[in-house]
Amino acid sequence: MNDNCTENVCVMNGDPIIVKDLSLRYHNRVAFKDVSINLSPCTVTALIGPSGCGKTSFLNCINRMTDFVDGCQVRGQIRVHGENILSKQTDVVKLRRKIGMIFQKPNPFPLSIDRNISMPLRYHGIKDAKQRQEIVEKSLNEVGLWDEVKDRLHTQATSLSGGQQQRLCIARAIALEPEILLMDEPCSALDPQSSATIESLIGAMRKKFTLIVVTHNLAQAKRVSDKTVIFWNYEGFGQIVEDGPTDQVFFKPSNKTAQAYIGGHLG
Amino acid sequence: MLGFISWTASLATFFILGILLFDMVSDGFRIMMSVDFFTNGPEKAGRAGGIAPILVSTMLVVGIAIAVSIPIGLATALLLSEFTRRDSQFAFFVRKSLDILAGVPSIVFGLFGNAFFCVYLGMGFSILSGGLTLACMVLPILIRTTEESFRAVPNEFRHGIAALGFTKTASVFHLLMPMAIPGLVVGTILGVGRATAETAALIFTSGYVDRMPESVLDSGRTLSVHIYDLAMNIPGGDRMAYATSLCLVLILLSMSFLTNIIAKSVLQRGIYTS
Repeated sequence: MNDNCTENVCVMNGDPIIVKDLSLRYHNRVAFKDVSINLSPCTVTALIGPSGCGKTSFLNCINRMTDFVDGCQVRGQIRVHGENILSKQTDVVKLRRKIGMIFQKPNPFPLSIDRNISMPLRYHGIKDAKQRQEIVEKSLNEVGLWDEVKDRLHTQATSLSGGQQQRLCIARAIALEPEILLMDEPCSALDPQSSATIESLIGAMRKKFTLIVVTHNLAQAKRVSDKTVIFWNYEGFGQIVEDGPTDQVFFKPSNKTAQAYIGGHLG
Repeated sequence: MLGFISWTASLATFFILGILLFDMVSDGFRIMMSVDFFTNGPEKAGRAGGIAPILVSTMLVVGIAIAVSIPIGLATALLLSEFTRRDSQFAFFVRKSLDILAGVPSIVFGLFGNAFFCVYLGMGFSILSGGLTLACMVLPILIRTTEESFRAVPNEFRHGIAALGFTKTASVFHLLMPMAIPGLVVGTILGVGRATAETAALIFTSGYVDRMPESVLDSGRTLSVHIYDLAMNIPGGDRMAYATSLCLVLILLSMSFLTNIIAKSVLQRGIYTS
C-alpha cells in the first residue's frame, strides 16, 4: 500500500520521548501517577490495558490536549528533543503541529475531501495552490485513499465511509509532516476490514513517524507494534506494570499482572 | 369532548388570522397595489399619498440596529461559547443579564433610549437614536441564537482542529464561524423581524417626522410608528393604516420565509465548499 513511507527517514533523530514522574488528575480523581518511561523514536509503541487505567489520558498529555479538559492537572515532565513540553513556556500550537493526533471517532471537518487537507496546509503557510495540491495527492496516496477519491475530491468528506474518514484524518495529520503521531484507539469505531487497512497503514508509517497507539485489542497491539506498554489500575489509579519490546511483553512478561492480562485471565 | 375543544380552539385561531388579514387586505390591498404608494411621501398627515420616506426611515433604523448589533453580538457570543469556561461566573452573569434584557418590555427600552441616546448623548430624536435603541433590544436574541449555534458545533471538531496546530482564534475563523453562520443568519433575521415590527421603543427615540430623512441625525418615522399614528391620531387615516399594515405584514412574512429557506438549505448543506 505504502511505498512512499518506507523511503523516508524518520525525523526524530534518535531522541526518545522521555516521560518522567508524570501524574494526572481530574479534579480530585487521580487518573495515573508517577509514570516514567522512555518512548523510542521511529517505532510503533502500543499502549494497552483495561478501560480507565489512564492510557488515553497519558496520550493526551503528549500533545497537551489535556489543556482542553476542565479541572485537569498534569505534573511531571515530558521531554521531546530535550524540551519539557509541559512547561508554561511551550508554544502549544507549534507543539501540536509536530505531534499529530488521530482520534477514536473519525472527525473529518464538514468540508470537501480536498479542503480537509488543504485548509490546514494553507494555514501553516503553504500559499501555493499547486504545491498544496501535490501534498494532498501525496498524503492521500500514503493512506491508500487517492484512487478511491481522486474523482470526487470536491465532495463532502462526511459522505465517505467510516474507514475512509479515518484514513482521511490520518492523511490530514501526516500532510503536516509531524514527527510523532498519536493514535487513540484508531480502529475501535471501524469494521474489521477498515481496521485491517488502518493496521497495515500503521505498519507502513513506522519508518517515518514515531507512532504511539492506544488500543484495547491485544492481538492488534501484537500485530502492529514494536514496543508495548501495559497500563494497569492499582489502588485506584493507573500505572505502568510492564514495558519493553512487544515480543518480550507478550511472550515473557515479568510482571504477574501483565502475565495474567496477556494470558487472558485478567482485564 | 377534548377533540371538540381542540377543534374549536384551532378554528378560532384560524378565524382570528382570517379576520385580521381580511380587514387589511380588503381595505389596504387596492391602495398598496399602486406604484404611487411606494414612491410618494404622505400627504394630509398621512390620509393620502404614500409611504416612501417611511420605508426609507425603516430601512435606515433597522440597518443601523443590525450593523451595530451583529459585531457586538458575534463577539459576545464568541466570548460566551469559546473563550470562557462553561462554569465561568462572568459568563453566567452575562447570560443572566441577557435573559433579563430579553424579557424587558420594549417601552422600557424606548425610555432608556430616550434618556441615554437622545438626551444624555445629545442625539435628539433621530434615526440614529432609534437604530441604537433597537440594537440594544435585539442584542439578547442575537447573542443567544449565535451562542447556541457555536455550541452546536461538536467538540470533536474543536479538538480535531487544535490537534492540527491551529490557534484558538484561527480555529474560530477557519472552522467554527463558517459552521455557525447558519445560526447567525437565522438570529439576524429574527432580530431584523423584531426590529422592523417595533413601535414603542421608536416613538421615544426616532420620533414621528414623516419627511424623507436627509441624514441619520434626522428624525424619521418607521412603518409601525406610521400605523400607530394613522390609527390613533389621524381621523380618516384608517385605510392608509391598513395598507401600511399589509405592507409591514408582507415584509415580515417574507423574512420568515427567507429564514426557513436559509435554515433548510444552509443547515443541511453544512459549510461544505469545494
